[in-house]
Parts: sequence; structure tokens; C-alpha cells
Amino acid sequence: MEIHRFEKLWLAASLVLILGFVATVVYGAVGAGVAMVNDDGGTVDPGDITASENFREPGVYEAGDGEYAVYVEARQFSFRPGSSQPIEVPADTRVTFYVTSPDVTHGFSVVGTNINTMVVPGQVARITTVFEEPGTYHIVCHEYCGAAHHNMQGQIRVVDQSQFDASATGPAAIDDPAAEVSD
Amino acid sequence: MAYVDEYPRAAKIARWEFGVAFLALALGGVFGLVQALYRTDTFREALPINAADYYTILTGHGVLLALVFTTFSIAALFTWATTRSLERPLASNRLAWGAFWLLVIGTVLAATSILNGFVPQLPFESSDVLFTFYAPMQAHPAFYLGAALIIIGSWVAGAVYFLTYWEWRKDNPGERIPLQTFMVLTTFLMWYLATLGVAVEVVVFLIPWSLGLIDTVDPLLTRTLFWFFGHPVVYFWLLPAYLVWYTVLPKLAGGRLFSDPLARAVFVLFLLLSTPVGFHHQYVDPGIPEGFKFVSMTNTMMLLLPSLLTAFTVVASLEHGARQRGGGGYVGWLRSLPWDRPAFSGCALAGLMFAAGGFSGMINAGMNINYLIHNTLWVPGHFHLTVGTAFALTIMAIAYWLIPQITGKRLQHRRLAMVQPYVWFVGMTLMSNAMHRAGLAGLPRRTAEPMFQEAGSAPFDPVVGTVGEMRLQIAIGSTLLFVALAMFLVVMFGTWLGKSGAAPLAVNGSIPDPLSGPEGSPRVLDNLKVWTAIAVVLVALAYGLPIWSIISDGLLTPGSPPIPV
Amino acid sequence: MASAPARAQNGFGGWLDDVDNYDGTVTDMTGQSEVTVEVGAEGNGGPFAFAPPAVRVSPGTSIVFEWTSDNHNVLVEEQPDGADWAGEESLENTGYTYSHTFETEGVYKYFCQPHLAVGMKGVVVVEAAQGDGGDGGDGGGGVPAEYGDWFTDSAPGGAVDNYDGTTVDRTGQSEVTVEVGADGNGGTFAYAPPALRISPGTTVVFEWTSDNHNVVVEEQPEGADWAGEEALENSGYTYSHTFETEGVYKYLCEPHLSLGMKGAIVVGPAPGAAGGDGDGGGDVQAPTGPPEGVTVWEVLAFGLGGAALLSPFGVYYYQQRRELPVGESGRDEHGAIREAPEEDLEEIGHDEYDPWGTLSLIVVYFLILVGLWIFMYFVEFLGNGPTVIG
Repeated sequence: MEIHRFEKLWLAASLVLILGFVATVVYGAVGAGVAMVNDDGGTVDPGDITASENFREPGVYEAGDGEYAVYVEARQFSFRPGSSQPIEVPADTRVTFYVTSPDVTHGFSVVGTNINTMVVPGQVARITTVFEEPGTYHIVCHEYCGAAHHNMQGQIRVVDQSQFDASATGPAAIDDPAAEVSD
Repeated sequence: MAYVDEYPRAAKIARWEFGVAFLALALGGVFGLVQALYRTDTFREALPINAADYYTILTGHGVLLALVFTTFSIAALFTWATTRSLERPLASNRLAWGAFWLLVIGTVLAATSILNGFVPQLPFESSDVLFTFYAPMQAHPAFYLGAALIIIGSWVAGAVYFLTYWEWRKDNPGERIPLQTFMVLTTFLMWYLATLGVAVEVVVFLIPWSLGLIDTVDPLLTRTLFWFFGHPVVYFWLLPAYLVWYTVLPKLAGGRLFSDPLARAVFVLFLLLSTPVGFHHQYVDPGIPEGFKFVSMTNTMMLLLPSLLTAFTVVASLEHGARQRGGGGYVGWLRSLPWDRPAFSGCALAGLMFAAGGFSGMINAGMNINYLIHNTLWVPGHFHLTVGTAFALTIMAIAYWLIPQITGKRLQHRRLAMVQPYVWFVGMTLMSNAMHRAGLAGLPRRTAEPMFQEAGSAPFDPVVGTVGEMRLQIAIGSTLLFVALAMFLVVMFGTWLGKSGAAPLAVNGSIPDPLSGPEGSPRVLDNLKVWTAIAVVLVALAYGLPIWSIISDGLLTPGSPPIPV
Repeated sequence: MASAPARAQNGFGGWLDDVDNYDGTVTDMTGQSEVTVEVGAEGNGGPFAFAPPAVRVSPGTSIVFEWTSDNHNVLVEEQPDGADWAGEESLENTGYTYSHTFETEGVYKYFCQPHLAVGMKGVVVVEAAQGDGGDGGDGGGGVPAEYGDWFTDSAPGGAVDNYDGTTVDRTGQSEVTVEVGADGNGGTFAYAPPALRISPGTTVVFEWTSDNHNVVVEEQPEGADWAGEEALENSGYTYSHTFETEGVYKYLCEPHLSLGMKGAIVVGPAPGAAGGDGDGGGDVQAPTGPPEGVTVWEVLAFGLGGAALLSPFGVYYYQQRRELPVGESGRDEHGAIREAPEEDLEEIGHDEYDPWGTLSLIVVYFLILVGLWIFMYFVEFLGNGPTVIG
């Protein structure tokens, strides 16, 4: 089949471009360490989300030295914790969010960051991140979930470690289910 | 001889199909304007809707434009293309009309249940589930039934093209498939493969679930089945636009198609790669392992190739036309093109806009960069460039050329038609660039209220510009788009009111041969069976394991009961 | 969500205006010792209603709130002076019950926090006998609670969602508390109560119940010297001011102004009200809510009206078209439609054509793609704050 030499040149350039895109994405994963949301969070029964060990009572827990776990329940039309009470976590620590929904599909997106996941009933979205600087972040639900979807928002307050430890609503340790949970 | 004289019965089918398509376009366009004004808080008090109604409008806008307008236009276009290139009438007019009525009934069912959102007196209940209708949000069963009938109607329409082709093949053994028919057939082969996902989702799961016959469905499974279909559907829209750009646009420019074999190869690539990429819409979904997402990404990146090749071939064909018109220089030839002819300018502008839309699509395809833009306003920015312009503007532009030929009526209001593509282009540029930038600032899509208004704690922090200025551009852009749509509808309406045969047509329907014909290309390109088989294998590889892992704990578990909206 | 048919005018100062399942009547349940209100009944586009939304009970009645769906609470918006209803603040699910015995007469307004935006609100009216408590009819000057459009979004800032048209009357008390950053306006962006009437010499204690608010004075009577609290403060902070000068004071919270965090204090007795209970005097302003949806009759009427108005144009247009002079006939001698002739252009064959122009344009496109990709990936994406690393 006869292909004009210019078109052959363009074909080669296109393949280089495609390869370049794939390589950049691989670099992002391997070099910059960006991980995708996957099935590590496990599944839960939407009718009773805390029954499985993949999800606990919503709140902030200490999961180890300098590691925190935040269990967030996203439902029509609020994040728990997040909406009525901001989620408070210390800066410069590894924070893992576990997010699920007992009703419809929602979104969990922290504005101004790359923290962005879908919240699908039956699945737990597990994402780990580090907030380096203290500050306030806003959570937005970006997947249509019903009539008041546009009001569904929350806040994450990242505070200094010292302020966090001194705060009255500190977290519970993760292996202490009887301890009080900050809601 | 004009098309309407040569193939009067096919012309009639095409006329009716375009008629319904343009009605859906009109209503969907009105919804789009209301939506844009509401969302950007422009004259919001004057709009007759409230925040909850916004989602009804959004569902209507999506379904009417992305499902009804598209499918009917494509059926009309393909009816013309098949009969014209095979030089024979349709194998079965009865079946073609059957397809039309199935499509219409499906449309009426789905549209009525959507309109129930504002007009409770209508027979069904509201179905504010948006174009993607994710479970566990539940629409009225009429919505799902309507969607299923539209899909089935499209299957029947496709069958007619295959029957016509087989008849032709009997009379023409050994000949290469005429290019337009080749494109129609490959598009439909891809469509049959793609719609399996949504057909299973709707017929096996959602309809019984909404009727109460099964208690729960697995939201992740239904979502995955939707996106099995949800990506290739955009190629179902794009490939007809490519058909126009490859086979008609060169003639409108005054030239000839640069290479027929390359066009065939491009369509084969789409047949192979359109479906096994659906997970790129689910990059940030829980429950799907990263490996499957990565495979989907590499497939999607490969899918850039046929579009990039198209860019070259189409522009080379246009350049040929410009040079035949006397144009010269490296870029000066652009001025020799017939920019005052709306069929040409619309298609050319649509192609230009697609080049931009292609870039935002490349970003969407990147697996981890998806975190940046997923479900933000960037995404509607992207698809208004692609289906909203590459498809819609091409259809409007080609209508200026085709409608006279299938009706026998001369095009009216030529000056309005001449300006219309430019108005659309400007409007879309304003709206889409603002949407892209707003998405980068984090503004979500599918939301009635602009959240977090300025003053104090404004978390939306654009790199360039302000949220207020972006909203203004969206409002102005969408108003211009509506004006362009109105212009198009006035031209069509005026033409329709004319008398067939009252004046000679201002268009000429003949299409010259390509510069490089199919004779030099490998015969295997025409072997549709082989390509279909490979396509099926690729889909099985991309979807087999993921779907197995989702259903291995139960077809309906983890299960969610319906939550009506 | 479909629009409801006739809505009550100003149900409780507009409190129940956007409550779909409120039909204007207050269900009379006086004379019963125990009354049930469903929490999370069907309404407002989902299981987002109290049923019945407005009840009248006798003093001493116990109301049992019974949850019939998940994720609701009962927060008290407003209650009569001296009443001590705490509501049920925690979110509870189907099957949960909570009861409270209502002693103090007056109007109690309550709501469910996550579903406030779709209209999940209710009212309890505690009344000993039929008929309203009357207003005292004394004459004499007073300060009318006139706020103009302060609580709507015509004034600077958004509409104040938690303002229901009534001014809470706390005259005769020496110290009154206003919550700063109470629930409202789509978050914790409200002053509670948003409109307050006090006697001259009363000290108002502003108590912050959430973070990041201030109290900025927008307008005050001549001679008044209230400076507000301009610094942004957080939960737990208190600030007080003793209001001496009679008149209307308007204030706002700067970061949340656009969400509707505004308030007003009226210093002075209500005009003509000498001890009447019920709503305070002055204009009752209905809160701005979303406009009503359309009904099918309105759509039909609009369509027919439009068609009627446009029909003369249509007739004129159609007639013009029919009388258009035609040049040559559109059909040739065989009756077939004539098409335009093909364009007569110079022919450039396959071997003579090299698409240099295309190559130039496509090289430019390639460079743009590469540049934009690098910018998007390395600057926008990798530079964009916290990222998912696991």
C-alpha cells in the first residue's frame, strides 16, 4: 500500500507522541509516586456499612506512628465527618481516607488538590495522602446524587501536630473500638 | 441526477430521520441555554426553574442531544451514504421504517419520563438520573425501556445497511467495498459490539430492578457495563463526522480525498480499539484494580493514532482543493478555500475545534493526571468541543449540502447559513475555554449551584482569570450557541417550507474519486470478519478479567436497592 | 422535584415555604397526651420530610419523633422564651425514636440538618385554647423591625436562609446570646437568631460556635457606637456589646457574606406590642427561596400565547415565500431536479501533489501538543498540592 512520505513521517511522530504520553504517565506512577484508587479498600454491604472490617464508624483514628485513618460516610447530602463537623487531621502525616456510601454514588474531591475519587455503594475507596501544610481544604461532591447534590460539601482542617494532640476531639486508636470517636 | 430523484424512498426515510433529529436538537438546545444561565447565575430569577429542576433539564439536555439527535442524524446520514455509494436502493424499506418507529417510540418514552420532572401530570414519574443513569439512583421503568428501544432501533437500522451491502456483494463479487459503505459497516460493527454492555445493563439489571423483580443490583457492575458502551458511543458519533470529512469535505473544498486506503485503515483501527478502553472513565473508581486501568490507558493512547492520521489526511485533501483553486505557499493556501460556503466552513471549523478537543481528550486519557480533572467542569468543556462541535456542527454544516439533495428544495436564507458556523465557533470557543479553566480550578460538573461563591474562603483558585469571568464567558458563549442553533433551525425551516423543484439546487452532489484509490491497498482491509474477530478478542482481554472479578462475589452483590429520584 | 400546587402564604413567616408536604394546614392534635411525628417520611423529592410538618398540641403533650428512614436529626431552629427543647442533634436511622414533652406555649420551629436544603422542616405549635394569643393593642411609639432587603440577596451578600421573617423578641432581658456560626445557609454560616429585638441597655453576648467568622457592622442608628468584632475568630470565642441607642443595627460576617451570613438587632420596644406573644412586629419578610416550578398549564398557555403572537409573522413569511419569483425552473425536461454545475477547477493529479502546507500545519500542531502536555502534566498536575500516594 502506498503511503505518502509525509504521512509516514507523521505516523512516526504520532507514535512517538503516544509513547511519550504513556511514558509520562508511567513516570508519574513510578517516579512521582502517584497511585490510583483501586480495589484495596474492599467491599461492604450498603445496607450495613460498618458490619464488615473494611469500614468502621465514621471518624478520625490514629493508625500508627504518624499515620491516621479517616473513615468518611458519604450520603445524601453530607459527608460524615466533614459537613457538620470538619475533619481535623495533623499536617505532615500520612492520612488514609476510607470513603463509602450507603445510598447512591457520590464523589469525594478535595478542591485544589489531586485527591479525587468516586464513592460507589458497596465499595470502599481507600486513598492515602500527606498534607504538608496546615490549612483548610474543602471537600466537594462532584457526582450527581440527587436534588440537593449542589449543597453537599465538607471541610478538612489540617492543623499542626501539637494543636491536633491538644484538641479536645482527638482521634481514637484504631485497635480500640470502644474509644470515643470524633464525629 | 439529484439524490431525491434517484433514491426517492431512501430520501424520504432520511428526511423523517433528520426531522426528528432537528426537533430533538431544538429542545435539547433550549434546555442547554436554561442550564447555562442557571448555573452561571445569570438572570436566574427570570428562569422558571429551581435548583432541583436543574437536574431534570440536565437529563433532558444530555439524552435529547447525545442520544436522540445523534442517533437519528446518523441513521439519516448513513442511509444516504450507503445507497449513494452502493448505487442501489435499501434492501428493505419496511425494516428501515421499522427501525425509525422503534427509535421514535423509545424517544417518546424516555423523553416523557424526563419531562415528568417538571410536569407531574404526565403519566410516568420523574427520571432525573442524567444521561449516565448510574444505579442505585433509579429512574422510572419507562426511561430504561425508552433507552432500550432506542438502542434496539439502532440495531435494526444497522441491519438494513448490512442487508443492502450483502445484496450488492452478490452482484459485485471481488470488488472493493465502496468507501462510504465501508465506513458505515465498520461503524456499525463497532456499535453492535459496544451496545452489548448497555443492553445487558438495562435489560438484565435495571429494568427488572426498577420494576421490583429483583431487589438489588451491584452499582459497580452496572457502572462498568455502562462505560463498556459509554466510550465507544462517542466514536459512534465521531465516525459519521469522519465520514463527512473524508468523503464530502474534500469535494466541498474543491479537491479530492488524499488517500482512500488510509481512511479504511483508520476505520479498522476504530473498530478494533473503541471498546476495550472503557475503564478510562473509571480511573478513580474504587473496586477496580490499577492493572486493568493501565491496560485501558495504553489502549486509549493507541486510539489517538487513527485520529491523528485523520488530521493529516483530511487537511491534505483540503490543501489539494485549495491548490486546485489556485492557492499557494505554505499556509497561504488556506485563504483560497471557500469560507463563504457554509457546508465547507462548518465542517472545517468543526475539524479545527476537534483538534483542540483532541488535546483535552489526551489529558483525560492519562491515568493519573485524571485526578486533576475528573468530574470537574473540564470534562463538559472537552465534550462540547467533540460531540458538541465536531459532531453537531458537522451535521448542521452537511445539512446545508445534503438537505437540498434529499428534499429537492433549494436552501433558503443563505446569508444566515453562511454566518451560522462562525457564530457557533465563537460561542463554543468562549464557553469551552472557560469550562476547561474552571475545571482546572476545581469547579465540579453536574451541579446546579455555583458553590463556594467568592468572598473570604473561596477555594476555587484559578491560575489565570477569575471564577466570575469564567461564568460570564460560559453565559455569553452558550447564548451565542443558542443563537447559532436558532439560525440553523430558521434556515432548515425556511428550506422545508419551499417547494420541491421550484428552483434549481445550489449544490452539486457528485463526489470525485480519491487521489489514491483502494486498488493499491491490501485486500485484507476489506475483510470485515477478521477485524470483527480481533475486536471481540481485544474486548474479551480488556473486560473479561475485570468483569469476572466484579461478579465473582455474586452477580447482584454488593447490592443496592433502588433509590428513586 | 416537582412543584407542589398551592402553597400556604407565609407559613410561619415563610419557614414552611419550601416544604413540599406542607399544605397550609396545621394538623390539630390538641387534647392527646402522646403524638407521633414521623422523621424522614416521603416528601421533598425523597424520604426528606417530617409528617405531619405542622402540628398543634396542648401543653404537656409528649411528641414521639419516630424515624422512618435513615440519616436525619431534629435541630431546634427557634422556640418560645423559656422553652428548653434540645432536639436530637445526632444523626439517627430508621427505627430510632426520641420524645420530648412540650410545656411552654408558643411556636417551635425545627429542621433536619442534612436535608434542610430540600425542605425538611417542621413546626410544633403549643397552645392551650383555640385561637392565637392576641397582640396587646397599646399605642405608643416603638421601633419597627424594618430591615429593607437586608435578609434577601438584593442587599449585599446572599439570602439569609435561617431568617424566617420573624424577629425573636428578647426584650426585658439583661443579657442575650447570639450564636455566631450556627447552622444555616448551607453549612455553619448563620447568626442565630438572625433577627433579634432587645431592650436598650441589654448586653448581647456573641458566642462563636464554629470557626472563621467575624461581626462587621453594616449600618447602625445615628449616635450608636458599635464597633463589631472585625477579627476572624473561632469556636468558643465570645464578644459582647451593650446596646443603648434605639434603632436597627445590621451586621454581617465577611467570609460568609455571600452565603447569607447576616444579622440584625432592633433595640427598642415593638410598636404597639405590649406583651403579645407570637411573632414580633414589623414587616414579615418571606425569605427568598427558589422560584416555583412550572405547571403544564403554564407551559401550554405560554406556548399557545407565543404561537398566537407569532402567527401574523408566520403567515406573512409563508406568503412571501410562495410569491418568490423563480428564475429557471428547478426541473429539467425530464422532470428531474437540477443541481448546480460542478466547479471548474484546475486539476492537480496524484503524482504532482505534495501536501507541504499540511506538513507545516501539522508540525505546528505537534509542537503545541507537546508543549501543552508538558505544562499540564508537570506544572498543573504534579504541582497541584496533596496527591494520592497509596
